[in-house]
Amino acid sequence: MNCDKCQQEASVFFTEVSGDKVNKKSLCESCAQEYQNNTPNLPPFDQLFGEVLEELESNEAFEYSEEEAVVSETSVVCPECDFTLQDYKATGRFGCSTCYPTFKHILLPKLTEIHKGSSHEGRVNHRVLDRVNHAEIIEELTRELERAIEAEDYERAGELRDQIKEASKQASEQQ
Amino acid sequence: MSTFTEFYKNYPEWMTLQESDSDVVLTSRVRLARNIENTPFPGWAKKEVQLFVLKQVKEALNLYQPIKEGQSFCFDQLDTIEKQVFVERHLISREHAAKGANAAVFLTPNCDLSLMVNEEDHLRLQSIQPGLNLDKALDNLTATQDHLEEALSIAYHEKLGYLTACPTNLGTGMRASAMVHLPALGILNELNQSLNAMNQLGLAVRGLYGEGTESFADLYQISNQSTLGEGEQTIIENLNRVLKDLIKQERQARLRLLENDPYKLQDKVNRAYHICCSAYLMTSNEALSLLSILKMGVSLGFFNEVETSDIDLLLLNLQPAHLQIALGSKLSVDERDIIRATKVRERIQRIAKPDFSIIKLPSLN
Repeated sequence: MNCDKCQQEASVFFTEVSGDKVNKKSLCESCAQEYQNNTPNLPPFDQLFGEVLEELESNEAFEYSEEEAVVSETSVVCPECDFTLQDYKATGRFGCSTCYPTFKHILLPKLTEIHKGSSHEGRVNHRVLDRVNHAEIIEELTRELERAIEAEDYERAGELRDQIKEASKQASEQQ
Repeated sequence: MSTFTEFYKNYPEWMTLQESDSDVVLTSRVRLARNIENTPFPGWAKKEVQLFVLKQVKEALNLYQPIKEGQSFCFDQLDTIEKQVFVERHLISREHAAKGANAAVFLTPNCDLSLMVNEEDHLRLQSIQPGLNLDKALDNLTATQDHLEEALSIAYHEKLGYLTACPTNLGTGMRASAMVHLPALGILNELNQSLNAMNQLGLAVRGLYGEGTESFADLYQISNQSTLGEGEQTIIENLNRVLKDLIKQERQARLRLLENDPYKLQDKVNRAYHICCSAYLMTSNEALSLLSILKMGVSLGFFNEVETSDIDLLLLNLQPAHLQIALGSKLSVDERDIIRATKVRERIQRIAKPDFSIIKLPSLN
């Protein structure tokens, strides 16, 4: 199969699902890299291969090409707790909270199979609420600072600058 | 740490209270799964990590009055049968009971709130209320959640919500469930139809002790499956609507039995009563199905001085761990059947025989 963009031999295949639309793409490696860089919602290039890895394991008789053989060696490991996809398959549970961003690419498409939606609608953690408040406060102070500078009220601007610094410090302490 | 004997003496308050829909819904329960950020979940954590989690939680709860006034148990101070007593009272899960020394449970004085540490997740908070009261059960957890989120770094993701060991709990981390008693739907062979409808609405139907357990005494647990994509209130509103309908179905089934098949109903209740009064050997299954019929008889008004919660308490005391603790020794299966029959006989003989005067029996001619 040829690459959708440059007609060279395609080696990377994307299936994008957004809502109920399915969009399939066949790309050569360099076009795929470029496509990935221009599509902010996709996970990093190397993480995409987790899914290929799963495919390979679920189908032992599957004969894979040279490119994919290289891919199968790239196994994703959770940086926090050393958890791997094989561990998930064995236990059906994740290793720690960091496993979620790590294995997001595997998990996200499956979420709507087990749940009514794919994004959280319930209670918001208090710490996050505080963070949102800080962000709002900083935004408001910044607007006021701009107004003070425009009015050439430098004394007020100085005060506001200190307040913004303090709020940013508090926000980062909570993260 | 508290003593087991002290705990054993007092039943959780919600077991003894009667609500307007207690004839069908025994209890409502809400449980929330929570974890500490960047710390391996209990199933993947080394012993030292689990102990560190327990220490953090203990410190956080030391400052929390409702739990401080209650009881707490580390699993290294409980044996298998004692842990089973907590399971039979629905205060910990079966999975939690299987954990070793690094697990613990914290309880409020009336046991309306329990906090399991190092179950499948670092923390499982649950609240139980009598009757259909899911909203109250959720409200009851708010203050504790607020406190824990202040005191600990709870794992949370803006898009995925609360992060849990199993992706099936992701989002709200909430499982809301009601324990329902459906004997008449069972007798009329309409139970499967009603329960299948639950499944189609995305709800789970389970046995008496939750996931993977059998149903006993016509008791079922109905709960939400999905935890992501809907808020807590929406999940509970949906469950409430379905449960109110189920209550109606079961009540109507009881009335239909009363009107259309009074001989059958009278026969079942009267036999159950007299077997309970005269048996010297009783297996657990027999006891459960007889008491289920008696409980329905109580809610239909055939027994005047008893309430359905009296039968529930008797059922609890017939559970294997409760029997063994009461007798203070490990019992063989045969011995248990003798003790069980004795307990049932002594309790039911104190109740006057059923009064069926409210039934108008049709003429057979």
